Amino acid sequence: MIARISTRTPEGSANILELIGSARLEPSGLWQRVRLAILPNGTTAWVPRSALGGSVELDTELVVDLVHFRARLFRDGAMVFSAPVGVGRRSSPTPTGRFYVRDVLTSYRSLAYGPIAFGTSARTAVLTDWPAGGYIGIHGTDRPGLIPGAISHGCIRMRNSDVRRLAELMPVGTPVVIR
Amino acid sequence: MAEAELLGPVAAFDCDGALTEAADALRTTRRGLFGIAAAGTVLGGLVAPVSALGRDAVAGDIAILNYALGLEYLQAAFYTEAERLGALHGPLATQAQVVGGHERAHVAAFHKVLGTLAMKSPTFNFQGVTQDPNAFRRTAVAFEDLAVAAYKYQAPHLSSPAYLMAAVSIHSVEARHAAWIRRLAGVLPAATAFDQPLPPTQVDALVASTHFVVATTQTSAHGSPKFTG
Repeated sequence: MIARISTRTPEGSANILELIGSARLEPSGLWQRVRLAILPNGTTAWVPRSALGGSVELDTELVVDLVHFRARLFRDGAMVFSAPVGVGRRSSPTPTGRFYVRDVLTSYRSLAYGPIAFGTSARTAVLTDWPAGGYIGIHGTDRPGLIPGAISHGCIRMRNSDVRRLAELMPVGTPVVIR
Repeated sequence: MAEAELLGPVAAFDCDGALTEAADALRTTRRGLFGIAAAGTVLGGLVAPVSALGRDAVAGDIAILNYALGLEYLQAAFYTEAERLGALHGPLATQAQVVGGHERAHVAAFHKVLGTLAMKSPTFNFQGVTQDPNAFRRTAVAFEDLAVAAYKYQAPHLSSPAYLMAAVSIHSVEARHAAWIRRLAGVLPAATAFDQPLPPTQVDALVASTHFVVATTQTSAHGSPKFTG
């Protein structure tokens, strides 16, 4: 056993998993390989399909380019969104790899996160004592002048107008590639 | 046409009797599975539409397009999961691969037209049907027959000639899908001289009776973010 998977995220939403493979094992039936939101980033595991709820097929993918400070959303291979971003400083870098959007937060009172904040399965490897474990978010900001640049604790910040636009296009569950 | 005839293709996977119950309940008012989702999305999305829809697009057309998108989500998810699980072989696997590609293309096309007015995909649990070739075959026959009948009912209600043409072009492809899987299932590809349309109340009831569409997962929250910032 690698880890116990909670049914809830630290934010209180349902804890969703990205399905990345499957195998049928007799007599226990179908098992799914899933991507886990734990450290080290990139950890995967097998879970019985019967332990999971419903699934949804998505044709979106968010690609975050740490070198050029830009996020691009693709739908069915075509780019439908592009915006400059702020990413982690050298001392608190944004982790690279394949992740997914776990949830979306709205109607909170925190200007620093802007109007909308997406939670991802990525976690900082350096700020591990951060509240809730140091998950990487994709959110707005009250300091748009810092974007683009390497200015965050690891989160991916974008201008509030951009994160609102992204929220109209990107469903929760969307795979995220950070490179 | 008698109700039993309409339900015939779908009854093949009525393993727990839920479909029979649904058929009985068709005589009473019921909640529209896809209908509710479509209407809600349309009302919410009209605030700031960003789509390829023309200025003259009427709410009725948008609702119908979203309704069709709901059916396409169901079919695309079904075939994609079957393909991914790899339990199908030979002609059946080919059918799932090709038809799955078509259904995903239909989803993409509806997204392109509807833009932000597109309803979100429901969440599905196919309960093992996609990993059992016999169950897959029966269900695929039912889904394709259902799609043909649903499009047949909805298409004449579209007010835009452009959308009508698009719907008809999908409808004929769904009919080819139906003939293909019927042949693989040993069922007459074209059993009757005339097809009957199926209104949304009956389509929704049949889909609901499968229990393939499960409760939407709560993936949003309103607490303060604790992300690293």
